[in-house]
Amino acid sequence: MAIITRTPQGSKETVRQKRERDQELLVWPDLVFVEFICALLFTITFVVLSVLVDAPLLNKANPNITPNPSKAPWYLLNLQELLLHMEAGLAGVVVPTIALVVLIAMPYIDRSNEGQGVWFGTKNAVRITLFAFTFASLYITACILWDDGAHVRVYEQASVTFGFREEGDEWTWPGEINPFREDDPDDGALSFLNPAEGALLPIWDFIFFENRVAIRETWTWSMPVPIQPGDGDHDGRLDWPQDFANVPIPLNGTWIITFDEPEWMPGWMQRLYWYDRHLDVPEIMAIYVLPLTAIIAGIVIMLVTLFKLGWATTVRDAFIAMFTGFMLTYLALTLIGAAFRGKGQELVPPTHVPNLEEFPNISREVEPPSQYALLDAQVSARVEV
Amino acid sequence: MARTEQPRGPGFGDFLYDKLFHNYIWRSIFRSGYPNTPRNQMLAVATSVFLHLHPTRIHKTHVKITHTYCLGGLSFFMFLGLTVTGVMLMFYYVPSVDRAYTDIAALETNVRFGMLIRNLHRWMAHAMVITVLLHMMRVFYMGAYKPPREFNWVVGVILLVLTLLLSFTGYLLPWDQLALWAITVGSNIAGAAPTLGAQTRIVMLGGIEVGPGTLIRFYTLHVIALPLLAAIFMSVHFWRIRRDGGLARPL
Repeated sequence: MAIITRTPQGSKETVRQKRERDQELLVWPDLVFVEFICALLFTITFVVLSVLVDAPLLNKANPNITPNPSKAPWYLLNLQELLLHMEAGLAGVVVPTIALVVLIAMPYIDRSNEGQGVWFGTKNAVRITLFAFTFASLYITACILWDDGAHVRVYEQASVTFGFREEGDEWTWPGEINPFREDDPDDGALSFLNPAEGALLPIWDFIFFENRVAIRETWTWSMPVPIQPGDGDHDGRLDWPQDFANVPIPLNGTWIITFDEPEWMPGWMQRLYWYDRHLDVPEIMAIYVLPLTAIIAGIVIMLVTLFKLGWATTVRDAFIAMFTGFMLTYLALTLIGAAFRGKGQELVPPTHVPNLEEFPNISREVEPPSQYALLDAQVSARVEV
Repeated sequence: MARTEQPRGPGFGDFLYDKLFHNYIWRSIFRSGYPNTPRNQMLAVATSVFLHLHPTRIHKTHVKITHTYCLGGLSFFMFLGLTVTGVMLMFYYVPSVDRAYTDIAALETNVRFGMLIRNLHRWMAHAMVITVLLHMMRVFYMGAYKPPREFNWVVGVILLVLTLLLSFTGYLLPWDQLALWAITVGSNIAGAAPTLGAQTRIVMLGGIEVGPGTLIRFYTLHVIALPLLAAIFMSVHFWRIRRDGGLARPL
């Protein structure tokens, strides 16, 4: 039997493997029976499972009672978790879309033929997978704990325990940092370190933010600006965040470029135009830049480490690392969203038992329509039990 | 079809075999004899509409359970099981805000084996999401997406998305608090899309919030549109496995 072989562009290599007739078995019985037994086993398993565990059915849907927390189906909990850490459109639509597009494009980027048809067929595949698995677990956990401010709680506890600080002392985190430090550092700045000078300090403070939102709420600095451009009053200083909260997009409205409002366009297309946008830089830092930086930095650090170690050398290796990281992230975020998020999406241990009084929807009320009198009685009987 | 088997022997078993599998009615249903010879075994696969997606012969490494863990087949098995139990559920379920919840409650209490069918449908739906994800991981770590199987990987990712959509649309149908608020959260996520978010959400929900319009929309998608789409893509997926030379093997 002639096998049509196909060669990818720019390669002489034959893509399709030769048939080895002497190595082949008949599908009936060798495969069909395996499939049959598999189907049988799973049918039995699911019947037993369904007899033992009932599917949940809560009270009738009531738009007036919002459960707290409200959770998406479990396979979307990862997106809901992501939503807590960045802008909604970015978390819910943009990031997953990019992930899906990369997933789809993968075979068109990694066109090598080596290592197919065998579990972890390429050299180092297992150790790359294990590395990516470990790295992604630690990185995701660290990011989520950081954004939750866990390190602050640990520091507060530790500083009291080891005597840096009295219990109940006034203390803000991290107070004020000033990369352009010229005045006295005793104005509440960096009370936990109180350093005099040092170029690394902004980075140090940055790491010790309470969370990413703190960049526009508690992180403040002030820089003297001797030159006063243009008209209008200013205090001679550039202050974070208030002086950065309403920045017009570059050049718009100047003689160089002016966008007019395209009124002839439908509303949603007008929204694409930046004609009168003002940028809230601290907000953009908190909801776009920091989360995206965290994602990109995670991928880059992982890949650079793998290539520096010499474990990864090919595109396939990079994809093994990224795919493992992606699947682990999917799993970890799902797990955190499902088991570690309590009321108000607070981070709680999975053993946390919510106070029943916090859940008004637990009270059993069913309002069946009157035309189903028979069902009415039976449903309320069931619910009362 | 030409008879190529040997004339029957003298024993009673041979007599019975001849009467059972060589008669006119049997032959009108199954063109081949009982699959006890290599020829009949191959014909049994090749001439049956249910088995013909298989090749007649397969490389011996692919039959090993640890090669694929049956994950793709299991996903398909879940799909079939969900279709059967889903049809049963449709007998008792009316997708209106007034009746949906009462119908499910009545199904659990009033219908013989109703609870079992609902449980089966729910657990198999969750299991299908898991098996599809595991199947994708199997294909990835085996490098089975590589040429010439690139397009089948794309079809597979589409099937993964369809599986998630099927599960998501089904989540609303019991019309209880769990369903309502999960779909509200889910649709808010979709509604956060840049620029077209609000419009997407209205199209998805058939209104500005989860309500009667959403229920009938999700029901229709869940029982007709998405299963049909999934079936089409599954056909392509299975067909392409054969056309691309079966399961991947080392070169």
